[in-house]
Amino acid sequence: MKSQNENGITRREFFRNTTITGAAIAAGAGGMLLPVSSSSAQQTGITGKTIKEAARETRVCRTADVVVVGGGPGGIGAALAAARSGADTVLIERYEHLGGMGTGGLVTIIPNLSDFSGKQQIAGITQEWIDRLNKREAADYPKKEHWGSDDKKLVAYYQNRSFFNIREQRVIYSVHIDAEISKCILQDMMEEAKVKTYLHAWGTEPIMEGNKARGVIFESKSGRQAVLAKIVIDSTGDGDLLPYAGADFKMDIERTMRIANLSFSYWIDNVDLKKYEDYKASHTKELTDHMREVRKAGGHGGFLASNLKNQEHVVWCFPRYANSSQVDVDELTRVEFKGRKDMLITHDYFKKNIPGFEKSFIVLSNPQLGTRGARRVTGDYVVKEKDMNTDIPFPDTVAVFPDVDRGKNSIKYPVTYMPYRCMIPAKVDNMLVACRAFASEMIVNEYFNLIPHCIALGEAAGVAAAQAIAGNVDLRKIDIKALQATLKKRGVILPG
Amino acid sequence: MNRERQNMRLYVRLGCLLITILLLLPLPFWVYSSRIFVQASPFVTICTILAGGALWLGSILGLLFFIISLFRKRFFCRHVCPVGLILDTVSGIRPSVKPWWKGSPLIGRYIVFLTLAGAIAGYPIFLWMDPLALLNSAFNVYKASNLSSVIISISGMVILLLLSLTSGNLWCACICPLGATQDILDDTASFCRRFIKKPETDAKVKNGYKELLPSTRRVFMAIAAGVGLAILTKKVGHAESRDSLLRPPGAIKEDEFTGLCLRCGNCVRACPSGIIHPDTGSSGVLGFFTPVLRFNKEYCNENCNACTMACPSGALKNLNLEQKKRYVIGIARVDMSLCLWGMSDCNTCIRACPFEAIKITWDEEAYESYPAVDPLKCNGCGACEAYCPTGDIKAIRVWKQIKTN
Repeated sequence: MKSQNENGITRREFFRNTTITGAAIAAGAGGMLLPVSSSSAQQTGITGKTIKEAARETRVCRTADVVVVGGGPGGIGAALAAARSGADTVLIERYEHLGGMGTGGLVTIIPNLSDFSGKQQIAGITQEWIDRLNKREAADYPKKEHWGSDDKKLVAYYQNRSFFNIREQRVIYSVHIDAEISKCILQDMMEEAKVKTYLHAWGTEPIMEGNKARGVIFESKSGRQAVLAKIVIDSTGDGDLLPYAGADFKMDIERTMRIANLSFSYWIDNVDLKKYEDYKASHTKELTDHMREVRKAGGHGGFLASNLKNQEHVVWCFPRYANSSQVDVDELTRVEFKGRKDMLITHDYFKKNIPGFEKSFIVLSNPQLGTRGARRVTGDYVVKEKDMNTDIPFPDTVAVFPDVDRGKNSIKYPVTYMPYRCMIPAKVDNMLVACRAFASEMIVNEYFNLIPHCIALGEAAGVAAAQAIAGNVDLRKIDIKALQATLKKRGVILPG
Repeated sequence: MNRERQNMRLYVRLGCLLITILLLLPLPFWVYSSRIFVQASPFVTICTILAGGALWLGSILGLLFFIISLFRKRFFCRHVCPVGLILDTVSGIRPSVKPWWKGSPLIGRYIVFLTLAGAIAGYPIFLWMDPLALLNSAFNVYKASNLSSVIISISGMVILLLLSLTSGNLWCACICPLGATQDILDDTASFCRRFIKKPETDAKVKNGYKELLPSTRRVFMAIAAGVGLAILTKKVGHAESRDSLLRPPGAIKEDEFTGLCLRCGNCVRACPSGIIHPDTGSSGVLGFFTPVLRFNKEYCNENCNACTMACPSGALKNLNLEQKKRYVIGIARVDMSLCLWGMSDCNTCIRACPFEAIKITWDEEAYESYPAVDPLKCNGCGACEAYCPTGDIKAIRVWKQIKTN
């Protein structure tokens, strides 16, 4: 027996909707939005607070084995590895280029590839990328024979080039890369591996069947379309698919952390760096005062000179911005606006006051705002602080990260191992999280969410996905030994 | 004196010179070698003891020579002093030089009285004139990183050598406070001996004080001046407020430090990090050539107390490793207008700090985070400053802790 209430909906509907609304409010308090409508909008569809979208048919534009959402470092690793392992792979990227932070974010640095001893720990696709850049002389890094050196002259030399080259007064393998050449190389690599790539395509939500991921919906100039796949890899960086997949995640980041900051990066070109260096040497105090002044005026007081070939007139600025959330569109807009204003203040001041900058100009501000951290999935295994402070690898180790950013602890424990399970979202099937949103405690994410880390995780995820599809087994039940063997064959450095 | 004995003495002196060189060369067999060398000087030993400085193994050697000097006239000069041997040899090059200074007052004695009196008042003014300290300093040449350090370390000996070339044994006979100390001791002793032997009959003894002390008035004035100068310099001669002035760990109060410091360079030499430099003006006129710390390349290692153990005068107190870790050289301060934390992912200072004293702090009002130093944990070791990548002017620097109240 159905009884109607004043709004003309059934009691059952009313209760169901109220429950969903409650859940939505609860979830909203957790800092996310769920794609549900409120009860009062059931009929009209539009209220002050929410709207109810009409159910609709969405065109499936492609069916594949693996769909990778996000073409940043994680997505590149995942898509290439999956395709090379024989999986029919689709890569969806929201910008017009591949590389994410490494290219569009102007974070043109692939740091921390070796440990203090100079032993390279991250290779695989990362090294392939660098090798290809090398062929075009589009990468700069300490010479191999210098990795691990604590020779004071060498340390001073490389420190002067970039402080990413030095950790604990030792030279480490860190690479500064050319953003534009990287974009070209990465798309070549996708084509060669026959990855079906959609640029200008924003993967918005996973297609779920219960707790099983079945594909992804993406928005683009072509409208809203779906890609169906056996396995979905979330390489969005911020774990954008997680709220819609029903996966648990954490978003807490301490204010004082590196990853709590956005970065608004830009380049200044036509700088006479020779003149600047001379000025710096002869007027050290005066330059220091200028740097103080420009910061007081709201600008940014430091930069890295590009050491790439034929870029001796380019400097890089990486100011950071505190924010309340890196997945809040208001905050992202606020920082973009503020960043550009501060950039102008900075350049105006430099141009007027600092010798060498007289004829300089702003050549580029970041096509993508530099993000450092947001969601972290709750995985089958969450990498914890204690896992950084151990020498014992996981049985399912799929990546080894040089541990060089933690001071004395780093010296004690020179590498940190990453288990395969940290990419599997608990409660969700057929999905992997291969980016900085991997399952980790805040403090682990602080140190291990950089570009090479994401590529390495992506590579492992891609191989694992292809292996699961080929063997027709669940992602949780794949043969880890076989996964590790394949990774090693591909040039990934693993223990044992 | 027969020839055989003269030869014997020459061999002894050569032996002492050889021992000196062995003690002062950077040979690893004993870390305290240069400390014991300087303390062998009875002038240094007695002044530092009076000034409340070090009393150590080396002091026994110094006291030993002190006592011997009471019985053997200028024993140290004749049998031990390596500086004397060197200067004798050099002045021997030009034997024709006439001692133009013969008959002039024996300045050395006044220097000794002045310094002894100053020592009692806590500021032994001319302690740095000790020849062993000057020679010791010259051995810093091999540690010198630049020309000015070379000049500073050898300047004392160069002056002595020039004096010897131009004026014969002016230094040894007339100026050297170590020699003068022995003279005073010898005179005192011989006066006492005569007084004990024939107290009544010896006419000389009755007026003996005149022989003993060349001029009572001058000596009295020297002593008064010593005390006066000591008090004066302690009061006004120091820029305590200069908060960029950093002393090595274990340094006593600044107003006593410049007096007790011998400028012997032992701490400079002992420092494995090479951060101790002889000062050239930043600590004022009185602080010339005294040791100051500079953290531009290296820092004061938390597992090292070498300088505190090398100091022969007690200007740096001996600290064991635990005490040294707790000794506050200064406190680090961040200049956020230069710091790269806000510009990129630099956290070099946080990683560098051996005491985990630097933490990122959140400022709600400024809406940004910044590295902040915990003054309770920081001891001013300078690791942050040494490793700060901002260039010639560091964004984080150690400053002397100016005590308020």
